[in-house]
Amino acid sequence: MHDLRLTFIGSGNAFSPGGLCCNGFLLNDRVLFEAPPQTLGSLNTVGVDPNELDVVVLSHHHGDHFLGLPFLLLHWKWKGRTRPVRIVGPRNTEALAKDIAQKVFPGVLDISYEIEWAEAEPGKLCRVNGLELEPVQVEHDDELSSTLGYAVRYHGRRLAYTGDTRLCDGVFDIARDAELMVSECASRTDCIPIHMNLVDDMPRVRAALPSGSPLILTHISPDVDNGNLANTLVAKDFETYRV
Amino acid sequence: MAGLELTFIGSGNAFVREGACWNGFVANGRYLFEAPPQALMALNRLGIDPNAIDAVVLSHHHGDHLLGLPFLLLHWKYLGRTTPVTVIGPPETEDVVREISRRTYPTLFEGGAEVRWVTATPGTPLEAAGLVVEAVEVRHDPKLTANFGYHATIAGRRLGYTGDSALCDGVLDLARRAEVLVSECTSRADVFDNHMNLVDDMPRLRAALAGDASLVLTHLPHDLGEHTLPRTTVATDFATYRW
Repeated sequence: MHDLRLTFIGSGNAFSPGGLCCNGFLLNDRVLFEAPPQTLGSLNTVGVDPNELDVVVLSHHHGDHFLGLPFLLLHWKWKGRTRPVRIVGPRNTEALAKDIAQKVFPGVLDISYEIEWAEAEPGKLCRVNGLELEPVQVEHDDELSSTLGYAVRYHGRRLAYTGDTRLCDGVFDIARDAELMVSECASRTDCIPIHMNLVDDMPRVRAALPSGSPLILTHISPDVDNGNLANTLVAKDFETYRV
Repeated sequence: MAGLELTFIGSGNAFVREGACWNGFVANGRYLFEAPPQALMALNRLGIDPNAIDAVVLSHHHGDHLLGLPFLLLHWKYLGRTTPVTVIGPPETEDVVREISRRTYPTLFEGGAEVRWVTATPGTPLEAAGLVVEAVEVRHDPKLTANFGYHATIAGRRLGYTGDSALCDGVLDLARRAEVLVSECTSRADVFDNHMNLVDDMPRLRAALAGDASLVLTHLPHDLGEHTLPRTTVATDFATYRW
């Protein structure tokens, strides 16, 4: 059986409270979930070659999930990438990424490797490099093109990732049959209408997951602990978890 | 006599090999030179209150100098900033930042602290929040609106900052006027036509400085190696230097 091996390139929310890096994680060093601004530096810190990434999966277009992409493109262009890369994200990801990347690094898209852009739509299964992604609609920021969570199947193993969201049906849907769930938990007790917190929401997410499935909290502030919830961990910058 | 204090929020070049942070520094706790992607994270890690930053000075619009600004704006909007902040940069800085911010945080500019956008003009000193700066044209990326270095006067001390540049008249002019010069030094011996290196360029820059002036190298590669230049410091992430 394949391990699911998650390495966090950051665990903090958009405000990097306490100096945390912004949330993002690697699945088995090949799939990157989210492209937070410090992505390239974090990949170099954890020793994962950016050219070995096969897929980048984006939940939505807020800067703390997205603005690391220009630096991956910079690295891929100038540091010898030859293999294709797949970038999966909500509607309009390609146009937005290209616009911003060209603006801040003119010429960065004049490339000799291939980028395959895949638009993720809720309910539409997306298969890439042995990975199956089922996007689910979550509830976060209506001003964006879409905000997604993902049910992931990787070599038969089932991972769920909430993206950023308030507690909603999409979160429960991906929790039900996950073997491992990564959930945003932006605050301890503060009720932020577009996010989940530890004390009110995480017990309900935990209850929706099978009891044997670990829950990993990310997109946190430093006062988030595991709330004494069973089989629940708080992600740390640059740490690896295996299931 | 009041002194000059520089704290580096990063010292790496655009590729941040081995996990260094991208170049940027805070002068006297109030003036931020460059807004690299990790700016907010680094300020928080250093314990520098982002709301205490009175002015941000940008040399050019490459992402490693600019893409931290949306996160600073996010902090200023949501985490209690009440005083105005000045952002000084090349032509179109406001447009570029607003466009990127609008698409990655759609409501970022609704409410929040006042941002005073100032376009720097080479040869014309300007004053903001006690900082006097004068842009100097340098040679870097002709596809951008402009590429500036800055001559600044802070607490009576004369600071020069090259931004990103090849060795050029602007850089030498900055050196001649400075008590402390912060210079990019992108590589050890590799020659790029839009950057400076240690072995060819830094001796000439050092020679242009007054004998008792200090040179600080930043925007560094991972393999800078040793040097024998007098009164020359190699910046490290999160270090503070005083004069």
